[in-house]
Formats: sequence, structure tokens, C-alpha cells
Amino acid sequence: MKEYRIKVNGTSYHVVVEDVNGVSAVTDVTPTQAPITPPPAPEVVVAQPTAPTPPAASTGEGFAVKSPLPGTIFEMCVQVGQKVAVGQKLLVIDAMKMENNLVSEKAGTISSINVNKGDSVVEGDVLMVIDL
Amino acid sequence: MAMQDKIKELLDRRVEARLGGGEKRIEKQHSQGKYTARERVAMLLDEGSFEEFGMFVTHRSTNFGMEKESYLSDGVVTGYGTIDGRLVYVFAQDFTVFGGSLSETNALKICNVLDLAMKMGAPVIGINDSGGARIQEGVNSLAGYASIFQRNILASGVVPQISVIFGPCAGGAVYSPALTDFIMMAKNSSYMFLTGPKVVKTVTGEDVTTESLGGAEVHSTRSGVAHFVAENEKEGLATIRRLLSYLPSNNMETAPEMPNNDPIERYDNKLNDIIPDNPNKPYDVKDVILGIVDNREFLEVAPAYAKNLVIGFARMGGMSVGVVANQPSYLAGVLDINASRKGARFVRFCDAFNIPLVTLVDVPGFLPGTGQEYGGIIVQGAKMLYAYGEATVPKVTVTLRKSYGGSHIVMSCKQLRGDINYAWPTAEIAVMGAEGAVEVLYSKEIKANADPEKQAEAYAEKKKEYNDLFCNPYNAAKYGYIDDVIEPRNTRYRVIKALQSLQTKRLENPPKKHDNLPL
Repeated sequence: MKEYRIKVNGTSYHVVVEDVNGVSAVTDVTPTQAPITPPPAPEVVVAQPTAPTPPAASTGEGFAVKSPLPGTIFEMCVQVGQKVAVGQKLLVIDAMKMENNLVSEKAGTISSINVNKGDSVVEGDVLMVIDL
Repeated sequence: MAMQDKIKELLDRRVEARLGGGEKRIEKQHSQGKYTARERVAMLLDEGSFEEFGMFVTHRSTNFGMEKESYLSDGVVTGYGTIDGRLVYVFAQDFTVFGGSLSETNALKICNVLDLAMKMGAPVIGINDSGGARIQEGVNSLAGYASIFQRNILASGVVPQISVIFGPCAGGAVYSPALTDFIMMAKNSSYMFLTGPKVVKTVTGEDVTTESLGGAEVHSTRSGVAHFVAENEKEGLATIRRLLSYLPSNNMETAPEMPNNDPIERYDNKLNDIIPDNPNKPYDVKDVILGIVDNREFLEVAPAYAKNLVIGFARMGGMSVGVVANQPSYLAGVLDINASRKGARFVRFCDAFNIPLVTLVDVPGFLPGTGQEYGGIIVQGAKMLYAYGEATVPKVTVTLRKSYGGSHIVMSCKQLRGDINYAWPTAEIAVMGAEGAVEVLYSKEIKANADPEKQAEAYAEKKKEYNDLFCNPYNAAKYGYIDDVIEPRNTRYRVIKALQSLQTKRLENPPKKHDNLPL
């Protein structure tokens, strides 16, 4: 378990990161101070201030679905609370002249979604978290 | 002693040697779902073909009371036999004897097998199941490892070397497999790492298990160290036999031809519909591979690592070929660091062993981003470029769809001495995509018009102009960069005919001590 203080758009967050099976998952994000003047939008989506990732559910296990390549979210195929199976299409990323299907590597329930259609993402961005 | 007694002594000694570290330890090996060294060799080779060497070798150490304990064969089973009637050399570490640890004498046995394989021009298969160096022997054990490594290095590119990991393989021991051509691991019973979980814990504080640090899954998906993963040992050894069927015995031979009943002129009608109407939609390139190779048989290498590039062995018209194909259904089929390394090593293996290359191209480009650039994609991508440019084996390329920019060049293009380059009518060969190109060429001109609707119209018009000009195979064919545009369902026939015409290809690179590829 590691704790960080990070700043996004002038808002300071207290983030607790817990190591789950070698996968770093953001388990708690708490704004520590009100936003000041919003600077230009950052290119990297770190966390959504309006939708903080909830703490891990009762099982305590969350699998972070990360963007495998830089691109734009073309289509969302699942919703928060939805059960997903291994191999199920989660979303489509428009990147490298291709509509890339991102399929689930794990079975579980979608506990949070960090992106919307049209958002730009870079390699490694956490797109959603699956409760195992 | 009478003759009969002497013969009985020999037979008794053989029985003792075959017991390795004794029945108890054999039972323990079996209870873990593992076979003994001699059982593995027997499963790997043609029945009854194994001829063993050095059965009566024992260690020479007297340190730490070692003189009181010794076993015949000293923890490694070595010899030769046949696979599908072809000569191969094998060594198999015996975990029941001192945990398969490497001693001076046991290393000498392995070196002997490697020397013979080199002299005879036959493949070597090493089955690893060892706790590491035999600590009691100190520096002699290290010398043993080094002697093996040196032979692995000299044999590289001369005879195929295959490493099978059916147990622990840790510390310096990992470098012998690493120097060989292919590594096979068994699920749940094998692991490889340089430093174990305990050392990792003290140095970096990370809590890891042997499985999460160096298990078959880690090495087949994340590190790319393992080329094949087997559910169990039996399946693993069967895969090794299959792999060898695609390989020649040494670099002076070609792989055995295996005529079969799949007609070379067989159409695969499905290929005429495989490319989606929307060029941005993915499809599975493995369907194309299976559609064109003999009897839909394809031995994929490293299937779970860098899935954006598919590599493996197949036969076409009975000839063994190495297939390299971009996979549009994974990461858009981009070339990234991992795919480049994976592809480059495969291409160089095929070139070293006279296996023709069939390249299926559908690549949008190199993956952009800091992760890639900081990771040295310039140098890593250059490996693939180098490998194709250096290769003198027959090279047949089919561009299925996208082939853009630098990645077009890398994927066995005409100027990298691609012998015969075909394209499907769906091919798009250009410096970059229409979107980017129009942005560079016309954005100033288009943005001069303030009306956004007019702008969009102008963009669309220019994009269409660009696509009409470049997003087809005919522009490249006009300049001779594509030899012919072929009907997809007829790809099998055209590629086999091309390969047949290239069988007498002679091409040599300039003499040099060795090359200096961008490592």
C-alpha cells in the first residue's frame, strides 16, 4: 500500500495505491483541497475529479484495464455494474488507422469507468476497473 | 572373475545408473507430476532409439564430505537418438541426483554432446531441471557453465538448439537456454530467473512467488523468453518433435520436404471476403495463414507474446516456411518494440537455417509514444529492418491491406531484397494515412476558408484524392515495387509457385568477420 499526493487541474488529491497481484490499482482518491484556477487541460487523464474510483469492493480485488496504445475512445460497450466475461468486448479505441477492440482479460463486474466516448488516451491509462 | 560375473556386474551397474538418485527421489519427482530425465528422453525420441553416453561418470569432488556420496551418471543423462528417423543429440538433467545441480563432470558430459552435435551437424535438445551450480564444487561448477555457454555460442546458427525447461532453471543456468534458438516451458512446474524471490525481496522489497517471477505464463506473455508453453511434459515433448520437423539438421541443409495431399492450386474462397469493407475494421490474420498453408497446419511461435505480430512455421507445397504476419486484430497490428524483437529473431533464425520466409503485411505503422521512444524503438525496430535486409533465403511478401511508411519498408519490401512481392487488390501502400497526409499538405490552404462546413468538405475531397491515388496497390505496382496484384483466394497457389521458382536462389552478403546489427 502506497500513498501519493498528486495535483490535477489545480486540485490536490490524496491517492492510496494498493498492490493487487502485481497490478497497481488506484483504490482511493480523495480531493484534499478545492480547485484553484483551472490550468489548460492536461493531456494525460489521471483520475476524474467528479467520479473518484471507489474503494475496492468486498473482495478487495480490482483489475485495472489499461489502454494498450494511444488513441481515441471510439465506442463504449459496457457500463458500471455490468458483469463481463473473459474475451468480452469492453470498448473500441480508434488508433493507428484501426478500430481496436479491447477485450476483457478477466471475468468480473465493472466497478468504475474512467473514460467517455471521444476521450484521448495514452498507453497505460487506466480505462476501467473490473472487480474480480 | 568369470566372464558371466563381469557381464552381471555391468548389468547391475546399469540398473544402478538408471535409478538416478534412488527410488524415493524418483517417487517424489513423479508425485510432482514430473517425469525423470530418462523417461523424458524416452518420450522425446523415437522408441528404442536412445544411445546413452557417460552412464558411469561420477563426480570428483571431495569438498564438504562429497566423497561419501556419489551417483552414477552424476545428475545428467546424455546421448543421441532419432526423431522421425533423424539424428538428434540430447541431454537431460536429473533432478533426483543432487537436485540436478551442475558439477564439473556433469558439465563435461553436456559439452561432449554439444561437440558431437556440431561435428555431426545434428540438432541438440537440452532438458533442464536443475537447482543450479553444485556449490560444493565451487569454481569448477562455474567453469562448467561457461564451457557450455561457449559451445552454445559457437553452435548458434550451425545446428538448431532447443531448450526445454521442466523444472527449476535459475541463476547463471538460464543463460544456456537463452543462447539457444527456442525455449519450451511447462505450465506450473517450471520457472526461470536470474535471481530468485528471496534475493528480489532483500534487494527491492518486492514480494513475488517463483511463478509470478519466472513461471511459464510470465515468460510466454511478458518477457517473451519462452517460445512455447505446454500444459504438461508429454505435450511439450510432442511439440518439440513437431518443431524439429520444420527444421533442417544444420545450416548446410534445407528442411525436409514433406509432400502431402493438399493441392497447391486449392482456392480458399473465404479469403476473397476476409478484408472488411471498412478499412478500419480488424480481422484475424491467422485465418489468412491457415487458408494458404498445407492442411491448415501452423506451428505458432510465441503466440501469447507481442500478439500484434504472428510468427511460426508451416508447409507450403511440402516446403517448410517461416511465416511472419502483422495481426490487425491486436493493437491494430502495429510494430512496437516487442513485436520488432520477436520478428527480428525469427527472421534471423529462418535465414540461418535456410527456411524461406513468407511475409503477410497489414501494418499501419510503428507505435507512437514516449514509452516506445524511450524504450529505444529506433534501435529495436532497426533489428527487424536489419534482419529482413540481411536475409538471403527466398522471401515472398503479400501485402493484404495496409502498408504504411517505415513499417512498409521493414516488412520485407522490394528494396530489402524481397524476391517476389504480391499485393491483394485491397492493399494500401503509402507514406502515411490520408488523414495525416492531407493535414500536412493542405491544412493551411483549407483553413484559409473560415466556413467550417466548407473546410470539412475540402478535407473530404482532398482525402478522397489522396486515397484514390495511393490507397491501392497499383501505384506501387506502377513502379515495380509490387510484382503482381493477385486475387486473395488464389494466394496459396501464387505463393507456392513463387517459392518453387526461388528454390535455386543464390545470394551472398559481402564477406565480413560478423555483422554489427543494432543490438
